[in-house]
Amino acid sequence: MIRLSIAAILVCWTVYPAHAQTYWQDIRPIFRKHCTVCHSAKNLKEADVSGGLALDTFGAAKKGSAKAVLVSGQSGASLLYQLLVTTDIKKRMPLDAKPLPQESIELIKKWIDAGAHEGTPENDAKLDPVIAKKSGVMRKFDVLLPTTAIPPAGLVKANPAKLDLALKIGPLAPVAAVALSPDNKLLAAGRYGQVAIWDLDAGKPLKVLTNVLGAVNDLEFSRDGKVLAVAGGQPSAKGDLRLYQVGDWKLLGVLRGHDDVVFSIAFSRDGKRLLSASFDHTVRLWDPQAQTSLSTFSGHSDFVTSVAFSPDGTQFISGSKDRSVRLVDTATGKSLFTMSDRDEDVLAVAFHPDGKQLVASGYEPRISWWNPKTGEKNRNSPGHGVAVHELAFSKDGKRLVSAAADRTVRVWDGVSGNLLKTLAVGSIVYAAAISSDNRRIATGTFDGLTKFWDEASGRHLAILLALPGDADQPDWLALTPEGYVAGSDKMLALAKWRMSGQEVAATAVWTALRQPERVAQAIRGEAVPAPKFPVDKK
Amino acid sequence: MSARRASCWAAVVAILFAYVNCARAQEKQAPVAEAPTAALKELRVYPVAVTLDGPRDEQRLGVIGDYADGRSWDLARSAKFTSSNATVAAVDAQGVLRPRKDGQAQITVAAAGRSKTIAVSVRNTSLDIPVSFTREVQPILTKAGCNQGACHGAQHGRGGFKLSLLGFDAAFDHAQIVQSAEGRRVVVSDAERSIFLQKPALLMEHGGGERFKAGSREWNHFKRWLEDGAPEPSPKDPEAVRLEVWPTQRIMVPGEQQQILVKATRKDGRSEDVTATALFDTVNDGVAAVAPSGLITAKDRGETHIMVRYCGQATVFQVTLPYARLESMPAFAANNFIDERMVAKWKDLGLTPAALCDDDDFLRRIYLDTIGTLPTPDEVRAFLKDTAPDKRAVWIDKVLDRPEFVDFWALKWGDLLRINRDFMQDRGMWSFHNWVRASLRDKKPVDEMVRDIITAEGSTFTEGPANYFMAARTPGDWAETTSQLFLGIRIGCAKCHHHPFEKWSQDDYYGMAAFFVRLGTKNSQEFGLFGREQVVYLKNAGEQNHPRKGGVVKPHPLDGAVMDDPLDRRVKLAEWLTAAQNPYFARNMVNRFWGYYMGRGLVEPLDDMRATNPASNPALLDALSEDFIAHKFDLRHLLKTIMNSRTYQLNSQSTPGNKADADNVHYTRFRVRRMTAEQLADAIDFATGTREKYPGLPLGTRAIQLPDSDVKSFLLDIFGRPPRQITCECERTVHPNIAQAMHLLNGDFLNKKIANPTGRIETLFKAKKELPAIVEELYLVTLSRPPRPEETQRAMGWLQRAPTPKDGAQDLLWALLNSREFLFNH
Repeated sequence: MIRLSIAAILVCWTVYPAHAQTYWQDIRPIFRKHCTVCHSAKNLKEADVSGGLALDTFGAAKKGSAKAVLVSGQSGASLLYQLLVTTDIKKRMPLDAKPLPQESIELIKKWIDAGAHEGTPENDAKLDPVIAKKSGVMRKFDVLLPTTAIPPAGLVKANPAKLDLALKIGPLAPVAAVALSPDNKLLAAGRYGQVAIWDLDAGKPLKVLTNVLGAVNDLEFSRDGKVLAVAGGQPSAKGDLRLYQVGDWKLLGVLRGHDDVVFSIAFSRDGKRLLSASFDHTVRLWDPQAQTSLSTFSGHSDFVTSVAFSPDGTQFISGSKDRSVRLVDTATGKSLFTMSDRDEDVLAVAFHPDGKQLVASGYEPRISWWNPKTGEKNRNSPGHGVAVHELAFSKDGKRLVSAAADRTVRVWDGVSGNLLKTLAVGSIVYAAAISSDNRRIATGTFDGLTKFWDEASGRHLAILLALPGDADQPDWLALTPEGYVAGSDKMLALAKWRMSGQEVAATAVWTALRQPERVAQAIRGEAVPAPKFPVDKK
Repeated sequence: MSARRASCWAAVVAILFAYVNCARAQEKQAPVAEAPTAALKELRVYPVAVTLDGPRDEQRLGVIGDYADGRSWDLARSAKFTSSNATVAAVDAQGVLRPRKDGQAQITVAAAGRSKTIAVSVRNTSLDIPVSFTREVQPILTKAGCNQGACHGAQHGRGGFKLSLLGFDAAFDHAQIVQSAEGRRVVVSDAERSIFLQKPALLMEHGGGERFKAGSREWNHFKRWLEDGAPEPSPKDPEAVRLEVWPTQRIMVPGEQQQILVKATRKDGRSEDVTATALFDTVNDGVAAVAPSGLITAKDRGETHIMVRYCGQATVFQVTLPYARLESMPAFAANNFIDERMVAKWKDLGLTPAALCDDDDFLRRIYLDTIGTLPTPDEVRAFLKDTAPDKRAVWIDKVLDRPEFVDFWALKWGDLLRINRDFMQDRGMWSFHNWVRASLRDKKPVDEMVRDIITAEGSTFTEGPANYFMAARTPGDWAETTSQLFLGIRIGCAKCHHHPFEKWSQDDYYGMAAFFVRLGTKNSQEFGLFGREQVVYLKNAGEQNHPRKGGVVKPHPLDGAVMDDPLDRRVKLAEWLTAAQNPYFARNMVNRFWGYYMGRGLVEPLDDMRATNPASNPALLDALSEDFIAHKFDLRHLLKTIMNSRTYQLNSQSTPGNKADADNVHYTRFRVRRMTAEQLADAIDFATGTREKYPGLPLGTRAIQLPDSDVKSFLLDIFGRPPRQITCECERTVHPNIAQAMHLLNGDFLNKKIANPTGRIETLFKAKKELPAIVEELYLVTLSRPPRPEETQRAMGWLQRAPTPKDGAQDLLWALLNSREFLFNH
């Protein structure tokens, strides 16, 4: 008889009546509204808040706190239910608040009495929180791209002025990540839900990956150039770390585990290890080939915003909103040094390729140079005056590039830390990458644009914009400051030339400026001549 | 903690809980008010005409019925609203009008069998106006509580997301929402995926719980803003400059409800209905509660205010629940305008005042309040014997002319100005103290005195008022002190962020500070050996920077225009401050002195004058302030007016007609209060016939003559003498403590004084006075009245039973000094 009921219970866990209440379908929404503000996994350490009980997953609810709170089939014996209905105001849950609505209490009771079934957890698709149909017609805004081209007088019916290209495609999500392939042939640029891959020789995009979840916060090519790692996720819900095969852009795998966005990633030089820093306060170490999680570093007490390997891969550094930089032994996961010299969030860290220096910056914009051997600070560089979002050393260590909210990228001497030049990018710079030959710099900005720069002269080379198009063909546009433009027909159909805010409808302008070859030249870093407009016959 | 004390605590907690439960139970059974049954006289609809401008404008309608019996009733919730053309202007069941397309329409409001029609003009519905962050997004963040101190407005934010406290820094908030963490919170290309929308609607876990529902008005505004590309705040956004409520006040009965409507006017002159996003808080939850929607529920008898805030502006709505329905006000001969204003208020509230106080109480009262001194037995006898009908007025004049007037009010001004050798050194302290005494003696008008202080410069050892700039040391401190002291306005909050309850912003704070920014202090060698005299001097240049926005803040007083002076900016400030048109200065001064005489300010705390802390009798405050200005800021005139009012001369008895006002907010009886530390010390000296020797001062110096608090006296300290460290009326306390009782009951301090060989008792016995005369004398020197026959009888019995009559007399004096009648001003 006993055996039979055990069997019955076991069966109950997996098979349950179609209409029975389940954790995920019926109970979780109630908990979300009334309970998980305190009783969540992230509050488990705070006994004052959670009492050691989490209710945000079925497993956690089953596990209970120090004592079990859930006795399947017996609401009366379940603390979870008792504390909802007790008349003792000091114990009743939710504490210091109105009791739950009667129907919610009833539902919980029925759920427990029916065996406290789990049901089907929300899968990726459901976590992907699309609420309802898109509302009505989305308004589109002009994205205005400036050039220095000035058509001669008479060509257009207006006083000559610099031409702007207006594209009715806004608002654009910010470009929060850029990466250059080790051979400098490819550029990856990520924004919410998309990663655009550009062929830098051809001067056009190859592909726009859209099979990413939510935000894209970091991108990195492996040193052998075979793998592109894409990091991001659904903010406040789920981290997303994906590996793509360079070439056919096949999704190799998804590395799961983070509970919030992955904000920064780093491949080891040999490509055998991958680090991911997440807003879930942890850094994870992965084996990207086996696609397994090796260890988790949880020494930070707030969002981890940045991570970098030491050149030999034996150590890594991580910067956090908790205002500290940690130097961690990769193998043991032990924190070696905590470097803290600031009162505000650390947003960016980078290891010098010679392994002798590391840099960190953030909301306090000075760049701190540390000695990883001693944990002592070598010096400060002045930084940008406002938040620094990304720091990157060139491959040879001779350059340090910093991207910042003052709408500039600065190039520093990678050894002495002296400022070499400042690039006026025009919008908050979230991401910057320098090519392995130190020739070109790519930036990703708040206004949703990717820009390309010549390192030596500081010259702006081109604006790159690619969005997913029909039939897997990117919808794209590239524009040089001289005014040369290339792009897909569909995108160019949306583009309008403007001069002093007035639309310019002259096919001659298009003829002179739609020059894909010139654009490709510019992107390759070659000098391009000023555009030739047809001579006014008058 | 001992077991006994622990269980004690448990009991206390249990009682508290019982009380809370009880209160909750009572709340549930809140009375349901009966609607008026008299005939409807008038149906009032607000506003009388509506213009809806722009695609998202809205206007809520208010409906009040006025009835024949004088009552009014909110009819908005039972009214039927119909639009003559719902394709132009739609109206919902709550009476909220929304634009549909440009044109004209009529809205008919039907309630209580009547109807009224208002015209609606709709325009600019098709204008493509992006949602404004400052006007349409930030007020929602504030209303939903997102940016309050306990949530994202905390110093380090919450959950990694920080907003400016109560939303006073739009640029910062916008950057946090849109730009920080690489745009984590918003997806402009797909608005509904933004955690900025999902979290407050609890579609995702949110530590702050559900703030609004998906699809609600708030949600739609946020979403629309994101779809518009999350535009940033524009410096051109016109800020709100005025807030009005409708109605402004209501007389209600318990259980009655009233929806209030809020209109904000912006700098460009446009106004809009902000009822949905204004914040409502009740000042006294026992009298009336308010829902976030602005629906007020009257609860219990009394008067309170509902604080209404929106975008840095604040105002109040007054709720009155009369204590009783007065058939008629008992005869009350008004002595002056104070009484007239008081009676008007009492009539509204259904309160009746106590009777006139006795002559002996009156005399003691005016002596203590005006000169901090007890009347002598001869003065008491003379006053009681005086039969002139106007003797009270005559004696008020007499007491105002006493030399102790200077002592007593120099003490009060010393508290306010923080005259203190800590800040000013001995010589500076004396020079300031003596300057205040001279000003009082010379009957210098208060405005002149204040002008002299604000514009003082020179050596602190010779220029008394220059020491004002020693108590505080920075332009910000000087601005704060000056505002609080002379205007009663606390702007300290605005140093770091917009004042949470008031309109004062950082601009206002630093505008005030800018008046003082060119002021410096330096050491002078002039006094050489005496040493280290400070000199307050004017620098040639210097500007006040705005710490957040950067740039120079030009000097401008609170609510005033930019003003400057090439030589000394403070001159302009002083002129503005003491101008007859200044809405704050006179009101602050009269409120303080009214508070000193009546035991409670019309605005309380005395130095917290703000729109959201209205006076208990605004008409009286206005009248007092006008009278003060009309009489050229003459302090003695003000005090005379107060003392001559019948209101001041009421006795302290609780009566059936006034006890309902338990806190005596409306002065229907005299507010009994303990003597202040200095009054008490001098009264004890006087009663015992002794002289306390204060260190560093000649024998005979009285407590009310002390120049600062740095004179050692245990008695003064335990009875709440202010240390003069902060600019706050709250520094002087009248709270009872055990040390006070022990010092007077058990300490040998009092026994020594009573038994002093040259003291009162010894002198009386040496003069070989009859015992009944001695008893009378002791009553007169302590209680300022002759003993009643039964008191004489009992005292005589005690003296005769004592080992010696002198012992008995000493016991009697001890008992009298420890009696409440002595310790209190009543």
